Amino acid sequence: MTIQRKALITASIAALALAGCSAGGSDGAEASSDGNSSASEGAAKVAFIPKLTGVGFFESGGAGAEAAGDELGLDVSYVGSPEASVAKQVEIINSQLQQGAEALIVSAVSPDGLCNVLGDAQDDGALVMTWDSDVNPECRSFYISQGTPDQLGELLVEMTTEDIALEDSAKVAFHYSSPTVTDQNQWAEVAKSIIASDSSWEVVDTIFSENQTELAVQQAEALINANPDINAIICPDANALPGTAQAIQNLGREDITVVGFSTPNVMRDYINDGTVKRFGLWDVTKQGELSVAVANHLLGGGTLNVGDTLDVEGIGTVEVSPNSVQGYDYEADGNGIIVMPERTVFTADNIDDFDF
Amino acid sequence: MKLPAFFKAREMVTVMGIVVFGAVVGLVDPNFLDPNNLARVLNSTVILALLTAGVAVVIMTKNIDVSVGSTMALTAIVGAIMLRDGVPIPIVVVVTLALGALLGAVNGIGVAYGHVPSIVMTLGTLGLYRGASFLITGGYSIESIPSEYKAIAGADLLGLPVLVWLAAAIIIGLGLLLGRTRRGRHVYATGDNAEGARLIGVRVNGIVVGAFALSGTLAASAGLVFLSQIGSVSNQAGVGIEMRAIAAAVIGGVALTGGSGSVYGAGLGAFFITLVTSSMSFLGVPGYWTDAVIGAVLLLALFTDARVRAALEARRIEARYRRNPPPDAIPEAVDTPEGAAR
Repeated sequence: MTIQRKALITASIAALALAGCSAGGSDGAEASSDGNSSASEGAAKVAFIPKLTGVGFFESGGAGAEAAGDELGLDVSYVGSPEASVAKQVEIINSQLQQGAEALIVSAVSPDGLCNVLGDAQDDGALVMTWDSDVNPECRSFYISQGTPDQLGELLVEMTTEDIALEDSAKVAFHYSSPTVTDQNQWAEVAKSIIASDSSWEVVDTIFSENQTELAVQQAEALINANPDINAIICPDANALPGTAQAIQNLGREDITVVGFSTPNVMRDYINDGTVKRFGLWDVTKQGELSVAVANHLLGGGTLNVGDTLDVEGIGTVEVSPNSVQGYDYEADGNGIIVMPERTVFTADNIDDFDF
Repeated sequence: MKLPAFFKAREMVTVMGIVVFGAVVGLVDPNFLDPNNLARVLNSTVILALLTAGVAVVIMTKNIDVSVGSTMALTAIVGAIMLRDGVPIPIVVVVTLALGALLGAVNGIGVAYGHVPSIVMTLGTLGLYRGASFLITGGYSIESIPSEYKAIAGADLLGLPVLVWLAAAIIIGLGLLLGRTRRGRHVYATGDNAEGARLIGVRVNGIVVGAFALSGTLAASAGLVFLSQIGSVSNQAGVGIEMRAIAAAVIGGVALTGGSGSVYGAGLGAFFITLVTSSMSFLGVPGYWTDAVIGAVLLLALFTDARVRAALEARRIEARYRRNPPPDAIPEAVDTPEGAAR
């Protein structure tokens, strides 16, 4: 009963969509695997999947992706789980494929954990891309990157050098979400290797706070009390950065430099009262838009290979880089990394220009 | 062989654990025992201690509440929206606590009158309340908590943050309520033997609903502390904290089988867990290892606790027999009144 009913509703919605919009580039549409495939024509379905929902960063990326979908005539849905786990992402990917998604754009919680399900999706003809946090390159076609680990790791060190010269002897620590998160780990590793080779700084500790703000505050307070002579804390995590800033405030240790990556809305108060002087990020809304624009190009029959460029309205010209920029060995046709053209450092001067 | 009464108290084992652990870390890095650092650890304990006290009362009734993390997030989000929109602080506090009581009572009614096992009921509301938070916020975190509210967390009294004193007062008040009042003893009676309690006139269903409502209220108070200490709240607030709260209650001597334990123990258990988490930087444990090390320390604590308790119990029984040699035929009969009183 309900299945028939759902099929009927889906079919009528699809019919409306067909009548309402002029062909959205779904010529290459694959028949989806379940029984209702007759209903899946119309605008191509794209699933834009965050690591987890309920975090401003991902919500803004999702908003950008959905807006770009409206613009380009794709049916983009932002779907995720409030819990960042491989099991949940696999579940969501499977359910999106069953509902006829032709493209998946995923911010992966694990580089390996999703490979099976994404490989199956590719075998069934779906377009698989990643954004924000990558999987192993053989499990996807393109990765829409906010910056290579080299660029972002360097940015972390650069922001710190505004206060502490490389040749000064200084104690620094890292604070991010978890040792299993691909991207944050890579940035921290690059930053640590720059520190080891180019500076007289000493990395005294690396702490993790598992996306929990109260833990981030607690761990940062413990870190500072255990190393009272620490000079800087580098926090490449949207939750660790405000937590550390709060700890600095609680302990009255505004002499410590805190830099990292987080969203402007969360950090506004700490920037305005001077606890944090600067932090970086990229425009995640644009990252969502760029991801969907690339998906649109590929779903419409276009191809992209390393060295090709693509003009994207509102973002500019982007180029396909080889996987090696991210430190991978794997290269193939129709496979690579598209790096966002620019990243932003937020300070008291520009923070009010951003709202996400 | 007689021990002073306070050494017999179950909570002393947790206190000893805290002292021993603190001493060990202090040997590695004396900064750990700096009063300022211990004050920060106490400050970090407040949220977990309030949640643990609530969970402990529910466990005493032989139920469990795994929804406290979600309840804390939902009440904190509602409170944060009111604060952001300029509602006066006292009204926000009252409304938030009332919402917590309501959310807890929903659990209690489902368990007592709907006969849903508490683990199932509260797993359901764990998801439901988290989902409601998400619907309210649309996924964005709520910032711009007024600075006068955040200032509460910054205020000190006699060297400790006022919120630490407040949490201690709440836990001591609750402990007296449970230990000294008729209604409080009914909580233990319900958990020890619900059918027996009913037969002697305890309103068992009312007690269960009350215990869950209390847990919800304490989760809301933890949410209010969260807003003051952190200054913003996201949907991710308190994910997984219910497991730490249950662990803290057990470490503090609240038996999962119901009918025993105290909220003092629960508070001490929360302090122990926070102390262990905070010690990692002082011990120089590499970040990759912290979860495993914390887990191992907690297991060691529980294991030692079980051994110490068994030893104390054996000593107590031995002392009793020495005082009061049992007649051959009815060895236990003489002791029954004393046994029941304990």
